[in-house]
Amino acid sequence: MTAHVAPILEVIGFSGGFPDASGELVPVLHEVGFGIPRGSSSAIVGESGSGKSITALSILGLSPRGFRRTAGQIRFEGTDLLALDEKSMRELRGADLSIVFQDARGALNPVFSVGWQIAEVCRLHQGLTRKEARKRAQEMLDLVRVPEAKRRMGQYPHEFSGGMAQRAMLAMALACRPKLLVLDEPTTGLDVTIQADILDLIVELKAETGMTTCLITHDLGVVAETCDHVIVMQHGEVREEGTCEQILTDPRDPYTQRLIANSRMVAGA
Amino acid sequence: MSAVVDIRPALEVTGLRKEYRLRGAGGHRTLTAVDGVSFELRPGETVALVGESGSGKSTIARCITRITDPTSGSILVGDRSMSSARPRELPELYGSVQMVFQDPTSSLDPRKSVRATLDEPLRLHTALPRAERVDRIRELMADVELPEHLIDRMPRQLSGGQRQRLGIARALAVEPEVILLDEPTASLDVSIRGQIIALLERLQDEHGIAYLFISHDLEVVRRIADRVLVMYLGTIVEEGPVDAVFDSPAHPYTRSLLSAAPVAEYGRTKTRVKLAGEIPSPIDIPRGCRLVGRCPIAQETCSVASPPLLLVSDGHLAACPVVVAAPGHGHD
Repeated sequence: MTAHVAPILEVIGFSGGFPDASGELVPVLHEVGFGIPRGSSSAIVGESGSGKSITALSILGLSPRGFRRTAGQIRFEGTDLLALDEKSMRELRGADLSIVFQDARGALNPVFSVGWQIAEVCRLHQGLTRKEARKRAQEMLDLVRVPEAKRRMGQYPHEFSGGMAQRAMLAMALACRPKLLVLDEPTTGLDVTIQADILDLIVELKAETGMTTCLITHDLGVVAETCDHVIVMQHGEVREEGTCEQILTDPRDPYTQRLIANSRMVAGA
Repeated sequence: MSAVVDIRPALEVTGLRKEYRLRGAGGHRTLTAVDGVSFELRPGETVALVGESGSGKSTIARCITRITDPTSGSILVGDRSMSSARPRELPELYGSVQMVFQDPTSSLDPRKSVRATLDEPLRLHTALPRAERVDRIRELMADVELPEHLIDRMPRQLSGGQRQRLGIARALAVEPEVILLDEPTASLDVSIRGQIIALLERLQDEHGIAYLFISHDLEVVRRIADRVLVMYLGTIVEEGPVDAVFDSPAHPYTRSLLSAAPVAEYGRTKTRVKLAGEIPSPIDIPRGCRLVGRCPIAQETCSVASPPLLLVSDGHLAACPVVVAAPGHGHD
């Protein structure tokens, strides 16, 4: 455990669920608790139905429609995010917290140029003029290594490949220099060489900016190669939390052990 | 299967080509999805087709099953030609070649129960009377480890893993010699993935079916395949026994692909072979080697002619004269 570093984010006894047809609450999260150490590359790993995405979205105040919290806190630098009103949450989302979603091309607006969309974020959250915002947007595209950033600014999302669109989403998420960046399956659906490029970029950007990252993924391979702190979830519960080394070399929880075995299909690998 | 047996291949693909004519502002253009691919699949063998989006691997499966018609080339299933079969002859050929799709949700009829889904191929391809068909349906369910009480369930009442088992049972119903599996585990959780792969391995042992296994999941390919074909922009750039290709990849594209795959192991040092830029459009394929412009070891000669597959070691071929001609390549 990296207990000597004060966590930037703490999830404490977080429970909740969705109402069924008769209004009865069906619980999906059961007293979820973990910490994201400041400056870490953390990961929440789990299979479908583990509750990893609902937990991550709740951090951003973006829990899905119908979800009801029954208990718990999510503390970001000491403030309980779940107690904030929508306006304060939105301000925090623009300034300190940011998220990158899985389907980048789906997350971009198809009728505006990519450059305009990044500039709009800078204008709204940082109060820049249009001209300053455009300049900043181009700097951000350079930062995420989009070649020919100036020309790319005027292009539309359909002119971007999946990998380039994910870079543009990263540019947008980083425009406000967030302290914590949540990445929800950022490379799922991308080809393996593109995935490796995006993961390398995330590691580099983290080193350059000093931000904390929290990766939501089903892929232990990605975790092993990019993260230092790991939370394993199953059926809405945290099964195990520890350093990447401890989780992968000395897993204590039987579910973690099975997950690792299933991720390595070739015997002896 | 490593033994070299001199028998007719279960599937033989020769010079397969698929072009799409595109109409646009600049007049007609041609997109070449598959550009002269040849390979064979022996009875009981698993050959994996790997490559990234746009490599043409799914188009090959669609051509073999005639979901789309190939532009040219020959496809033989046993001794019968799939490529020159007339549309009315196809149903009979589907008794020999079946396909399992990636997404079992969209490839199953949502209004057909397990029973009806499995009864259809039996009705079309066998002469079994109704009562015996029910016995055969139960047998098929047992074969893919679907509990018998699910027989009247609809697809939406099954889990993702159960749906994929049903898709496999449907393919198995006609006792085909060849099953094409197009990313059969891509939409499944890792724990279910392992179960489906174990099931496919057992079915192959018991029934001697040959699999053409299309996947981008290199972990699964290494486990299930006997041989692997690596595709890039419509051509095979490397092929060989799975261990030879994974342990000593020769082609720079294969090296890049394998070195990019994440492995769930702590502290593994990884040396990535990086390619420049992104995969070009199959509309304007580069002259010469398709990897020219992205390749870290390209030489001037690479852009002159498209390199042929050259022998690396027994059964292992790669379309890269720069690597294969170099002294002491590969075998370390």
